[in-house]
Amino acid sequence: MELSSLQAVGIVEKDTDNGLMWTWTYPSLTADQKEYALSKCCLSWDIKTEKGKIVPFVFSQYRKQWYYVFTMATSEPTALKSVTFFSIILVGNDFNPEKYAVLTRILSKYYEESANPVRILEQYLMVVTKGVCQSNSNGVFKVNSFSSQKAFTTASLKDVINTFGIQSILLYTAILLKMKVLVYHSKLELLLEITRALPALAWHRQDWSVVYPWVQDRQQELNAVRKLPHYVVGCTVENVLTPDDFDLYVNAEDGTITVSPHAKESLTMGKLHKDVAKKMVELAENETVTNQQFIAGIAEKTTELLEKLSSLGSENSAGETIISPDHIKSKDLHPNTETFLMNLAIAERLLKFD
Amino acid sequence: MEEVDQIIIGSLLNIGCEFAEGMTSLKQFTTENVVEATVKCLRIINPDYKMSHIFPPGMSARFRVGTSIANTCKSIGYQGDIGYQTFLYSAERDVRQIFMFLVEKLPRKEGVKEDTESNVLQRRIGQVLREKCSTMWMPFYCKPLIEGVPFRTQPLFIPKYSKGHRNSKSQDEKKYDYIHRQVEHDELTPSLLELNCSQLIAASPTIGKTSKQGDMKTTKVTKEAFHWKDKSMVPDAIPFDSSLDEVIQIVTGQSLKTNRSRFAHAKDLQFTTDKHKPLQIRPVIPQKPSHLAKLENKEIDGEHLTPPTKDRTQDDPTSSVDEASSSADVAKDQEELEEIRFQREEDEMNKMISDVVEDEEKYKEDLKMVEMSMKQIVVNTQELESTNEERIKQVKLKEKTLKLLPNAEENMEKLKAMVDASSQRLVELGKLWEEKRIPLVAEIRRLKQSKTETEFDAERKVEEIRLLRSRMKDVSEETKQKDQLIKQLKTELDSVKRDISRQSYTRRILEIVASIHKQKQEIQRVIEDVKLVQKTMNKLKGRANRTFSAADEVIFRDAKQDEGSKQAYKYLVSLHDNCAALLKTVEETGLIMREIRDLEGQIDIEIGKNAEENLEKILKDYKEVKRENAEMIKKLKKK
Repeated sequence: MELSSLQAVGIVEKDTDNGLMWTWTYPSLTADQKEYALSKCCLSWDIKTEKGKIVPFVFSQYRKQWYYVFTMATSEPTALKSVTFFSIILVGNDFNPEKYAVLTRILSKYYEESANPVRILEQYLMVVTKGVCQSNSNGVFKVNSFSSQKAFTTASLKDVINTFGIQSILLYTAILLKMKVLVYHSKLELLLEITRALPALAWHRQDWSVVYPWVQDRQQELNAVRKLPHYVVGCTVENVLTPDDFDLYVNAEDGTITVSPHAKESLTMGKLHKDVAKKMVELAENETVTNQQFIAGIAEKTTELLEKLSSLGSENSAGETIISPDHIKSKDLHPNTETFLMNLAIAERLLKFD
Repeated sequence: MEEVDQIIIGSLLNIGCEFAEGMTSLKQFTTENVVEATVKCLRIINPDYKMSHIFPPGMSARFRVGTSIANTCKSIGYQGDIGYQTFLYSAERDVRQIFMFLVEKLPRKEGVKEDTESNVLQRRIGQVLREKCSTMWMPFYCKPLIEGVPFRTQPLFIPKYSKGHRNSKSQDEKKYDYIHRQVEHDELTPSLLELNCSQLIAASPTIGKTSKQGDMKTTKVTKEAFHWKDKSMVPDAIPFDSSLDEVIQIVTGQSLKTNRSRFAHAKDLQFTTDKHKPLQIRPVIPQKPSHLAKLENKEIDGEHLTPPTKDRTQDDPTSSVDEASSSADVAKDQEELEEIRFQREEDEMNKMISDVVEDEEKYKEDLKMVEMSMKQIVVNTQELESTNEERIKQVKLKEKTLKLLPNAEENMEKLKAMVDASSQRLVELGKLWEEKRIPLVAEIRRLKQSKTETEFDAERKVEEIRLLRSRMKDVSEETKQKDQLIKQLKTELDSVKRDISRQSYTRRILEIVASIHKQKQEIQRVIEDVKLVQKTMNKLKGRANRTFSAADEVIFRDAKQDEGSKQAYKYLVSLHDNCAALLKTVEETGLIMREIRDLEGQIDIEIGKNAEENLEKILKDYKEVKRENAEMIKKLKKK
């Protein structure tokens, strides 16, 4: 239910002495969550290093919750005394950067004007209870006007595919087969854009909880990520994960994709792949195709594949299609295709062992 | 005057006029002494001046010497009146003046050691040398030990030397370098120790099981083997005078004949070329499973006596196995039988290996399947978990709504009201909290600021302290240096000879200065007195003249009429004249007194000059010169 997707709101301030403080939260956040949120807030970075530039809006996932951080500098005149920068952090259950971006902006305007978190509290409660809130500039913010579908398709998958060219078939396979992918890009904004586009390759699942758009080299996050069976992780620093921890390494800056040795077997290409790859590249290069159409096109191919797969299986008593390894083996296909189909069946929960 | 004489005599002593010892004043100097001293001084002042310091006996020569000395003195810069007469017919005063002048002109001894850099350096050198002399000398390699070397070992390979000549190297020798080149310097000793230990253990008969033929051991290396408590490992006391052979023999015990340690082996090869090596020894191989070990034993046995097969391409030091010993001939029949047996067993082994390999593949496949099923299960569990969670939430929600469903409208209103009320309450609470929060946040900020300020202050103070400390150190070092310097200078001062001390000079000078000062004051006073007297005199004279003229006028006026006043006038005039005459005589007496004093002074001087004596001398000398001249003329004429 969308109304209850908001979990918490918090304010972090940086004052004139360069002291960082978590000034206000509602309703409450555990120390763990606070630590994570602070690490994602760019105010906690060292100003002297390059990362000290303020990135206005970032989002990332931690333990099935999405953290959206909006940072801005106070501009004169302001009721906030001795505060140079502040961030508004929203914690929610769903993935919808646009919605939360707007919401955080509204809240920050309120806060800047009044320096009173109670105003934020009011708006927050209104959003939680009614799903609407007043914007400062005479607008109304309606939760309903931000659908998750839109959020899923906002990031341009087409551009991503164009960056990697024919190699993006590896990406497609990896996401389809629920493998561990590590994406690297030194610029945070671009990284976020790229990583959020990737789950669209498996559109039929509509599952954005696999993507962790921004993971830093911190024990807290890495411990949580390593426990997961599969993920798409983005990082701005190299060597965040050891090569054992991922199957596919995507260097978005250089446009290269590397396969880890232990995953080479699962990612070997076959005839099926070539087919899909051709279609992908064709669509991507076609300038008239919009992002939605592109995603739809790929989804078509995926459904074709899945149909083919289920055709190999048989119906069981409950009416579900079950595939067993023998079925696949009996078709006497190329071993690569065999492996691929088996893995796909596992990923789609269609495979049953005797 | 005496001090001056002392000074002069002292300096003359210094330059080497021994006649001056014991003299107390210049009066005691004879002409010869005077001349000698002057010449010596002149020589020191002007090294070019070559004149003997002995006064020649001949008159003319003396005359010449005198004039030359006088001229030299004038050339140096003596401003007084000087001529040959000052030397030949010396007057004390003149002589004193000349000596004073010459002594001043003498190049000064460098009494003051200036603090030049070279002096400082020399002093420092002396100090260091003294220090070094006080400590004992040790050769450089006896210096205190460096830290111990960590015990790190690396495997060393000592090749087996080929039998016989050193010149024909075996394959091994070419392959392996000298051991000191195989490992790093620090690791050489530990590696050697390790190698030695391992070989010793291998060679020791009490640890390993020996096979029948006694050349190959499958050593079961146990922990006890490394206990040196095992007596057999500890050699008996080795007498000091035993040769290398004997030492090795003792250490390896009875292993000489059959189980030779490699060292003995190598040593024999190195130093003796004629001995026959009965059996070669192979390096130790770790224990293999029993059936393989047995097999290998047999193989090895067989191999010893046959050329090495292709299967066994280890670094076989037994390249010279062809030159087998006599025992090989005996066992040749046995070999053939064993060969056959060996082949059969080899076939069996191969079959077993292929079976095993097949099994392995099967297991691999199964493993793959299991992995996949695991993956599947993991994926399933994940999905089930998430759906589970969602469903639980939904169920709860639906339960609640079901409860409220009967009075749907009412309950919805109630719910809405409740929600509004709670949000209102929350807002109120938020406000309250805000009131509390703001001052706290401000407090935090203020405290942080003050903390940074105090930190800053503390840092500054720490800096200041550090500066002070460093300055203190500098100052203490300086004081130390100065103390040292003081000590050195004191010792030097003590060692310096004390002459006619400067102290007495300085004292005298100061006294003289003080007395002169006093005298000046006296003179000033006297001058003032004299001036005063003169003034009064002038005043009175003037007064007298004026009174006379005034009286004159008065009486002269009257004198024309009166006889008495005429008389008075005449008396007055005569009085005036007489007084004037008196005054003049007094003045003249004063002048004459002054002249007398001057003349007396001149008389004294003249007396000091011993003019009569000198004249007599001169006359004598003149007569002598004349005589000499005459003689010389006579001589010339004769020639």
